[in-house]
Amino acid sequence: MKIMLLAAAALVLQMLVFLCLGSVVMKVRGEDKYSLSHAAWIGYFVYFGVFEAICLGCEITLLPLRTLALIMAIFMGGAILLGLFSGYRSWIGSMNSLRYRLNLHGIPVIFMLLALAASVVFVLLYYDASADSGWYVGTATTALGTNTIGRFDPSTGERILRFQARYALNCFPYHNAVVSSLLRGLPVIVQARSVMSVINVIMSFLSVYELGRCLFPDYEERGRKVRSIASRPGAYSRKRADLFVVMVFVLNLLSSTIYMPGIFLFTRSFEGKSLIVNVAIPAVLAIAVSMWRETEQAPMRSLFWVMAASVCFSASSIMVLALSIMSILPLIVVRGKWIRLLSLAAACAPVLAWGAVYYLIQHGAIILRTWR
Amino acid sequence: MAGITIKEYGLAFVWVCLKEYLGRSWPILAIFGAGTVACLLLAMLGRKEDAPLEVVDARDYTPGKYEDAPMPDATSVIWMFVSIVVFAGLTVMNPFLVRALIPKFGMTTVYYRFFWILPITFGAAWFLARGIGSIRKKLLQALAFAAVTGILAFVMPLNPGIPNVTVPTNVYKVDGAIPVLCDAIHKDYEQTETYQKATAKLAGITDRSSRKWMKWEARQHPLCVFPYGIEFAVRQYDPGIRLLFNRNLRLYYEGNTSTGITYGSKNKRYMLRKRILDAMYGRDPSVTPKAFRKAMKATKTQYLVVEENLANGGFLVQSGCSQVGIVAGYTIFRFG
Repeated sequence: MKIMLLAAAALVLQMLVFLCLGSVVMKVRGEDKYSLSHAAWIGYFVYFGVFEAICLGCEITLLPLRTLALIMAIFMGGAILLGLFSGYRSWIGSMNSLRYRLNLHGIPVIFMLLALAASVVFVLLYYDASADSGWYVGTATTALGTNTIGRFDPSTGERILRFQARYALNCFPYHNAVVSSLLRGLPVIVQARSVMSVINVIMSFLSVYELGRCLFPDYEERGRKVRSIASRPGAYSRKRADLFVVMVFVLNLLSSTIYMPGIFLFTRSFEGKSLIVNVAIPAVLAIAVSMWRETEQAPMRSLFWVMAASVCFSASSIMVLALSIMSILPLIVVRGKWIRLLSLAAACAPVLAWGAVYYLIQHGAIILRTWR
Repeated sequence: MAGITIKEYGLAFVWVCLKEYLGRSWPILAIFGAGTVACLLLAMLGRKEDAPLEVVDARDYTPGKYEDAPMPDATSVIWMFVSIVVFAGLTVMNPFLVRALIPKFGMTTVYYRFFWILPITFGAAWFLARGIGSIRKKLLQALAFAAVTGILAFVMPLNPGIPNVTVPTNVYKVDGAIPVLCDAIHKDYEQTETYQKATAKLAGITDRSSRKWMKWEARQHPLCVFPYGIEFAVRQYDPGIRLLFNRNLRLYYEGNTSTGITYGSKNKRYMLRKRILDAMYGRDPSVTPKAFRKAMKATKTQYLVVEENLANGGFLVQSGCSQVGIVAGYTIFRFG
């Protein structure tokens, strides 16, 4: 019972941190009217982008896990305070308009929430003993058990004398160790396989929903003429986005191979790879669509945080980089907005930097020892 | 992807991987392809899409902003899809480039991840949502949704993870035997000299960033071999157990070559470990007690956990192991 209460507390704490961080970002961007889910979604990427930078620093300097946990506790506390301070008016506004906004969604939102609930229940129940789960969760349990970061092999428990580029540079598993370290008594395996799985599934649905909002904007053009305004502004986009999320859920349910996003969503939601395919990739697509439609003012800032978080999630962040280039570069060329090349390069900087360090480590130009 | 190599398939590698990636879910690609081609044709023939007209958000509308957009909305998304597919076709899915570069980057086994770049699922879902959403009457819309879902469920099999779900027996979501096995091993190990020595050594080391500290920190934990069915869950639950086999070695021993790594008979590290597992289950009669003992000493293995009904118990006891106990259907042996 104690473990379940701690798990619930961990879920609330992490979602609150994401929401508060997102609220700070929205405030910095000068946006006051936003939905809480959108803020939490943005905050999720910002958190893991920042976590990657801090954790990597601690890992290379051989600091103990508890020091990292302390730094992250201060960061989380600061984020919560700043978020509450800067966002409470927007939160109240958002809560007050909840009923109105639910009415705009209509019936499709019920199906979307049912799909989300089914996915959450599924990942809570599902378990296996696969080699990959052993690696991801083992990395976190080993870190907490030894109070180190990446200095012991998670699959055997033996010491590692050099950091391996493939695993050491993507710090997502250590987040679970940090949370368990902060909430004494919460086993890492519960945080990683249950709490984080639930959070990741929620974030995956939010990513797909954001993509849906971009794919079905509230205005519809016919050539160069914009049709006029209906009586219920915002309803069209929300309803279609809900339907889109449900359709993605159905297609994921019917993804028949172990390689497709569906299997990663339902059975491997605690792994970084799953976050790449089910959270980061739809987020990049949403940003790209908003750029093609020219509906977002500064999409590259969001892209930067998605990239930074992707580096944290997995070495497969290279897929996020490839998708960003493939979807945005042709737009820049077609529309001749060459200045955007610079902002695209800046947004891609986290993955490019990771790639450069990875290459140097793999080829022996940089040797990162796990001891002094 | 397991069993698919560039050496075997050459230029057909990408196509074979795509077929393997989609399996019987190819209708998702068909919907994506058909939708893209149909919308492209509509755009090229100059017919504007019959987009729903209901709403424009009054608060977001800025006069002049949308009128100057260079392309109609839906078409711009289609062009984005096309640009991704073409770009991918010229680069990461170009058979010639793939044949030359993918093996060099060691990405043959994980090549399938490049298919994540293609917006197949999201594109297909978008076309389906557009199609269903374009129906005006709500009842007909609901019927269309049910019909589409039903047809899709009929032609495509269920996600392979769905039928495997079972209600876990504990909050850790591991086999119920693992906690009791780990407890039993710890209880026994803490009585041994090895543990006492490691603990004493650790107490004398203050610099936690030294190699020495890492060595004794590891030695403080028992080195074990577990059955394949539970091995990968052991260290998820209890990092205080060391395992003799790493992930790749164990997968290879059990016949799983999905990692793309193989261990030949000249690989001493693998052969020593293989000998232990062969002896535990009586799989190789040529393994003598002497050879087994040599392997156990060379690897410093301390505990063997075997399914009670599969254990080669007589051989293990004869070879210097002693039975610690039978716990949750598994027999624990200690060596030395």
